[in-house]
Amino acid sequence: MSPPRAIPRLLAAGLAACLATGAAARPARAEDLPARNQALLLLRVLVYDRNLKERAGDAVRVAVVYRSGDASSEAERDALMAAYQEVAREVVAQGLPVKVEALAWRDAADFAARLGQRRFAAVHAGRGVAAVAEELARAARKSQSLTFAPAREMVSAGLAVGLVFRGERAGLVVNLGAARAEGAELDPALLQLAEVLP
Amino acid sequence: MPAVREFRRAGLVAVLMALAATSPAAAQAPSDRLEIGAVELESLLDLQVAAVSLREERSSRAPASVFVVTAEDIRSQGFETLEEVLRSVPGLFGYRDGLYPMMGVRGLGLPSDYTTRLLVLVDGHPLVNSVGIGESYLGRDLPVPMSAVKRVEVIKGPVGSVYGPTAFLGVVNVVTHGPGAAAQEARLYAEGGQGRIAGGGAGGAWAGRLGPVSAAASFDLYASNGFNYRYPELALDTRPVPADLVVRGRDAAEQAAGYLRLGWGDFEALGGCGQFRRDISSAPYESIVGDPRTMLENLTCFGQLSVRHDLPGGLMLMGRLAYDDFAYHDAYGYDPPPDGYGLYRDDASDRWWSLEARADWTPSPATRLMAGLTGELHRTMQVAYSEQLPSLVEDPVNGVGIGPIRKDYATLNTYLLAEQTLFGTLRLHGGLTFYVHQIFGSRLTPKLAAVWQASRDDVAKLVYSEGFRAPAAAEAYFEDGTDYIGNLDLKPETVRSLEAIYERRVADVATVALSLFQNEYRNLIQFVTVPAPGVVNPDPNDPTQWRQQANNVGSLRLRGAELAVSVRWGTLLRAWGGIAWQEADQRTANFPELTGNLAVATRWPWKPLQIGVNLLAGAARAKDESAAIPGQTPAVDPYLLLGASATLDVPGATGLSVQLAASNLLDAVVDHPVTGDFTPISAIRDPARTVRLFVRYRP
Repeated sequence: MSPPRAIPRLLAAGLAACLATGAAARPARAEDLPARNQALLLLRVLVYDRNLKERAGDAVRVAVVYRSGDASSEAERDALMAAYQEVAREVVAQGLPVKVEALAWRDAADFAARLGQRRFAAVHAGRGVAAVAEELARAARKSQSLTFAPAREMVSAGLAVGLVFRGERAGLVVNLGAARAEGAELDPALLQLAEVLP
Repeated sequence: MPAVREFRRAGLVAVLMALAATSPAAAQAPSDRLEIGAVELESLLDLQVAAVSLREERSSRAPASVFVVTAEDIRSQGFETLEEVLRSVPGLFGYRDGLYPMMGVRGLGLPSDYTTRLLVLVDGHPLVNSVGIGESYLGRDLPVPMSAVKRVEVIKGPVGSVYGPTAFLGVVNVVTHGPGAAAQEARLYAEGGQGRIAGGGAGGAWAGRLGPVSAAASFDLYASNGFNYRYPELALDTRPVPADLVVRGRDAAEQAAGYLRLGWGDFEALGGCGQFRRDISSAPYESIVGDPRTMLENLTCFGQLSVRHDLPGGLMLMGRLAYDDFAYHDAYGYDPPPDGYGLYRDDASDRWWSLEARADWTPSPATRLMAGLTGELHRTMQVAYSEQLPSLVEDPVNGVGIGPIRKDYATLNTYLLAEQTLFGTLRLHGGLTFYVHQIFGSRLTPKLAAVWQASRDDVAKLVYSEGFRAPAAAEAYFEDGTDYIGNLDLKPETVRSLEAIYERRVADVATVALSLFQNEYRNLIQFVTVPAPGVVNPDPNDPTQWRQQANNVGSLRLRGAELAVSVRWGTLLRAWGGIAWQEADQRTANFPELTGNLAVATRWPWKPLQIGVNLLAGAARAKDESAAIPGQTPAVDPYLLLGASATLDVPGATGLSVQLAASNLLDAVVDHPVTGDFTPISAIRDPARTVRLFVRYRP
């Protein structure tokens, strides 16, 4: 058969469409992993910390931080708590049992005080506290708790480890300076798998 | 021994975890809980697959039978080529003809296929050319260094509804470490066998940032003096052959490859180039056995610029512009004229531009629509000639070759994909491709699939797909006046496939998949041996009275079952493999009813030391009937190939490791049926036991 006459025009139209879309990008759209996967991921990341046992003591305590009075944040808390409690029955981290507590964010001073009362090895910050990520990071550095966030923006704001998405692709982003400030010494093997922020 | 106790406890926990998957509330004492460090991090992120529906998605949700081998898997076994990786994938089996390695899928592995039915992608860029005269992209001719590889995705079954004709048996997508990823490696290795060091290689990969541009670069170098090959069937030959039927050192090869990816915002540029050369020990086409001039080489280069842009409302636009250049050369040594052809050469090339535009719209989490088109403009050339003789055009009596055969053509592949999630757990997929080939016509190719997430760990898939493959230029047009004649009446091959798949994840560390499939192939194209033009009663023992010609050899119905398992339990156990059984409704050359693969690697009982073992098995396969001569067996025997590796992370030297890897450890005889090109040789042997010693540094 002879070549369709439309081919050159279709090719030209395709090229024009490509070039016409080269302007400003919008941020990647986030799509959550299931809460159980998030819980497993945080714990899996934690065991890359060579200082975990020193920071954790007799158990790996995880604080799930949410904004009190915010319905969506509390719903996220409920899902994460259920997932962590389920996972805590199934796994240990560097041989240590896993314990989880919900910690409400009211203000920075209150949060820092309550975080400091217990020896939390990790802080899982929910989306509801994204706006206070910088203050949360300061508190975590004082208590030497490794922070984990569900969004890149929160990592850029000073939290240590984040989940990032592009479409359905999940990956990890690590703020190395923040992780060190929070007392963690992350194994290079993790850094090979993650996007590392300077 | 604490390590033994730990291993036993871990095994116990695995069983408990599997049981607990149906009763998650069951509490366990701390000592019986799984160490989270034993769970593969990537399995928690779920291995991503990009090739099924043109975007990254979880392999468990992909509407196809998918298998993924990661870079760590590859290193754990000491695999050095894509062929070695793919041989370990359940349902696939490797074979070779002494020129290139090839890969069969679920029983179908036609001799002289040269990877014209399996689409090989590199980061989504299709490599496979349309000449089909000599290439594999599976061995050392892959223009992408193995150091760059992050994972290899394998889709079994036709994917014509997305990629068009070459994805006839399936798709192999080689995914490399992206620009900016912190994945660096340097490695050196030596290779030996048959009591001597034959060669070695070096490779490296680097990734980082150059100002605003993120970059990833890699290279591979390889050289080998080759091995000695014994061809028992040379005893039937009328040519002078070595008394012991061994062709010595006539398998030397060289390879150089480099690959570069650059990322800047929404834009990505990638390009690669690979040169591969090997001597040919099997002396096909009645050339002189053991002639040092007999060789082949190819040069494959490609470059691609793509842009991907997200717009509000869930719309993503992608554009891709690419240029590919494939060039092939071979030479065969004969006696000088007038007794022979002197040095006989074949050259071939395919140079093509590709342009793809795609729109991917996700108006809601439950709905996705995608439309796109890919246009290609090919310029192909094939020529066979002797340096010391005129062409048949110039001298119809004593000439050789018919001069350059040039074919230029355009293709256009337009596709539409739609996905809809119902009831939160049922995902329906529909795909339609309209492919137009300027010479071989057009084809509408549908795909329908349903993926049901029955529970957190259970997925059931039902997939109906079709594929088609236009004849390669070599099949339709190549003529040389001595060995090949063209066939302008070839029809495109088609396939209809129906598959049911059940996948189950076990305790977050293992996946088990069972697949039942039926594939109906029509108009399969195969080179067969036919009498030379004008010869009425050809002598079976006189190769000059026969020619090779691509024919539509008929229809074939395959049905079978496949079980695939993968376990990634941190450093404790890394294993994958499976078994595939298939039956055909008629005798087919190189068709195995049974294939099995297993690869296991563990760092138990001492973490710095990783031990790997891999096993390949296959049933007997029939030889090409059209090339049979008296005195030859009608089939090759079943085979069992064992490989092993030991990797030591050097204590006190972070990132430095030493690996000893052996393939064909038992030095087994494994033969693969070949076409009449190699007469009187009807089967080519797998390499003998080969040992590689690696030194790797991964900071």
